[in-house]
Amino acid sequence: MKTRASRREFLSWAAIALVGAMAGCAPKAAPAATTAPTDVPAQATAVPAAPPTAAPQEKIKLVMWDWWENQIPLWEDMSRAYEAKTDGAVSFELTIIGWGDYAKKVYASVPSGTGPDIFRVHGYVAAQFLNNKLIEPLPEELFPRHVLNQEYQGVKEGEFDLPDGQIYVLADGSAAPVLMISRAAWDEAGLTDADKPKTFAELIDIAKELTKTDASGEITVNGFNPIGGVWDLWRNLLYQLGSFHYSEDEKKVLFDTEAGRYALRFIDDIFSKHKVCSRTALAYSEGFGTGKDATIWGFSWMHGTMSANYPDVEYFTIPLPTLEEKVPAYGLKVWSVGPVANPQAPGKRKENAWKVLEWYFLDDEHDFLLREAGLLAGLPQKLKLQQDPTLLADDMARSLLAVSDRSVNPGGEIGEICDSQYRYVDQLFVQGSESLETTIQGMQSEGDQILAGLPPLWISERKYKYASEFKS
Amino acid sequence: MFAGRLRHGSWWRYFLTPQGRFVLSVLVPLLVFYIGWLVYPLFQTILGSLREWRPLIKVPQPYVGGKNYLEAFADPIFRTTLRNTLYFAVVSVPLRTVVALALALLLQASGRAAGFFRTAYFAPVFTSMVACAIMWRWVYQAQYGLLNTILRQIGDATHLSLPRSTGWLSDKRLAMDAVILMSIWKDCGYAMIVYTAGLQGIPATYYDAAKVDGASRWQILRHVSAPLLQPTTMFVVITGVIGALQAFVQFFVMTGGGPGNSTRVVVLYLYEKAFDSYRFGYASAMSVILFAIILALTLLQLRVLAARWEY
Repeated sequence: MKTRASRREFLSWAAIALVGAMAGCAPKAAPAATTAPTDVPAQATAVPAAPPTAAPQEKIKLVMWDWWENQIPLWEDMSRAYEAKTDGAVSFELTIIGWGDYAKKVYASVPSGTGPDIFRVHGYVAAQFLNNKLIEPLPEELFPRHVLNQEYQGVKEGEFDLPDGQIYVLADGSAAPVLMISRAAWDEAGLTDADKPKTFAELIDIAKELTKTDASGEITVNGFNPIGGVWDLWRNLLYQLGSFHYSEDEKKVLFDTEAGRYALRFIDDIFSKHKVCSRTALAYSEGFGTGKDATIWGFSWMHGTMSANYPDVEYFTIPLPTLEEKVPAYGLKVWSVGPVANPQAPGKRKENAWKVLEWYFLDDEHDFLLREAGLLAGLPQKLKLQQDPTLLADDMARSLLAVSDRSVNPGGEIGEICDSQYRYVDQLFVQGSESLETTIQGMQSEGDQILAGLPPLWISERKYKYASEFKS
Repeated sequence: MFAGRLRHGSWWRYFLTPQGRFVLSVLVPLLVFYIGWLVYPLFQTILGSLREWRPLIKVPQPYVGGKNYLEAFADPIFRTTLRNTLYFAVVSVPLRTVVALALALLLQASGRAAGFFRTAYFAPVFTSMVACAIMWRWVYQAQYGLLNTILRQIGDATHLSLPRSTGWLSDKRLAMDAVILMSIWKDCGYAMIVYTAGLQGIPATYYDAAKVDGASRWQILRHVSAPLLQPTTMFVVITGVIGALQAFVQFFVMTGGGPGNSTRVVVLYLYEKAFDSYRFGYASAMSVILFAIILALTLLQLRVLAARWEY
């Protein structure tokens, strides 16, 4: 038997193997689904029952992208309900793309025509999506403005108008900052409902009682931990102090102001003067879930993170305290911007995608929007759902409703400015590497530089109902 | 045969011979790979750096000449990343080289245990950098990390005033050095193996002669081993510098470039510009600048570190 190949035979097989390998490296058209992270802001997606939209004989399977795997059961129910309504003509398939890759994959796939039919837009990237023509206005025939004005919070005030005056996105939930308090720490300190703090001064007093230290004076349990989102707390405090974030012409940020400096001093006092938190404490739910924080502040979407990662930890929530007893605003209200139809999807698919979304947002026969709000631990943007008793059974929803009317919708976030604030406040100022002066001046100058290089943005803070009470 | 044909100027005829055809058939796939995956992308990057290249916008990208390069040199953050990258290379490479040589010498003297120690020191090399970076992020964690825990326990036992909850990655004065330490730990095993091979290549007669002359260990190291290891050292240093100037993963995972911009290196910054801001033209310009720096430093090192001793 022949055991050795000739040179010619060897080269032939090598060439075949090489061609096969190169064919296997060919780019794939469809993106891969990955699992979603659990600590990103999740968005409520409830899917209303839709009237039949496609011809009975034509079956269409729409593709939807999201980044939060907790959405899957809800969207599977939605798909089944919609398929039943359309007699099997239209169904959809949810693909989870990890948050870290989500925007990149949308950017790459939508312009090239290979993207999903429906995809979720996060407020953090909404302005970028708009500026890069990845979204288009809600069709007026399906989403009449007068109906949206009546049914959706903030629409009448123009909070959802993008620079061209049109509405491109609706929200299916809102998140706002809340205070989360460990039940175990609270009970151990003998505190009652009457002790729930309404102002930051009251919170600091409570936090001092809840803070624990070891023999060497090192903090072992932080009474109040803002780490992970100190920059976010800072910008909420600006609103409490009646100071907008952007100038009226949207050309400059308003950070180096009396309010900005006051808020930074207040934050520094948490660590240096009141000593209720270590500067090197764990961030967000890591410390709270492991018993190292008695209270933390965070956005309400952390409810979902805590449920997923630390389901055995008992806690309750109250609205974020205020610097004064009466403030023009409690802070930010971040709308979880909902799904949109892909403007590049081929005719019938786009048409059906919009009809699904019309069903989702405007139809009253289903409860998916409510379920989504529960999943997000947020408030639905749809006004009539905000008073639903099942929603308000959760203290998180009650905390949000209490402040919803007095929270500012900033519009779409500007990612680069948020990153700049995080670097300066969390990484440098809180760690003691930069003084208040260099921090505030650095944020002001970087913010101005970033704004100078950007096209028109979605900034809606001055459309806030009580904007006249603001000082800037 | 090939050299002969080269001298007579008919080098291409060589490839018509059976031997030449065989050589060609082996080289062609490699050339295709090299051109397709290295040369062509490099060429496109250089072209892209001369354009305002924004991939999300379908209109043709306008030619802007050197605008991206001028913007890069005027960008204070890019200048900071250049400083950080050079600092990382200048500190980590010599330390890595010295540690690797020391480990190789110790291995040489460790007898039967050499196999175990060689595996132990090489283990970080074949472990994923991402996994190592995540692990070290927790080692450095200020309140509960291993390093601070050990320091606290030593301090309590000995009553020395050692740091107790230092923010190794959250203090901008310490973060870069902390990442350097991790990078040396991760990578010195590879250099150690190269040095081990280099040491094994030195004929024993040189050591015997030195011992006969009464040389001490330090004298042997300084006058015999080190000079004869010059080619090895050149390889370790040059590859180390090239790798250090392109470092990315450990910075991306451990610090994200922070605190502030204290650990933001060039490759991390250009990644952010390319894939967060979608400014491919600007990112391409930064990558071309980095390429030029690496090329210049490599040529300089080749000249300075060229071997002067042969055996």
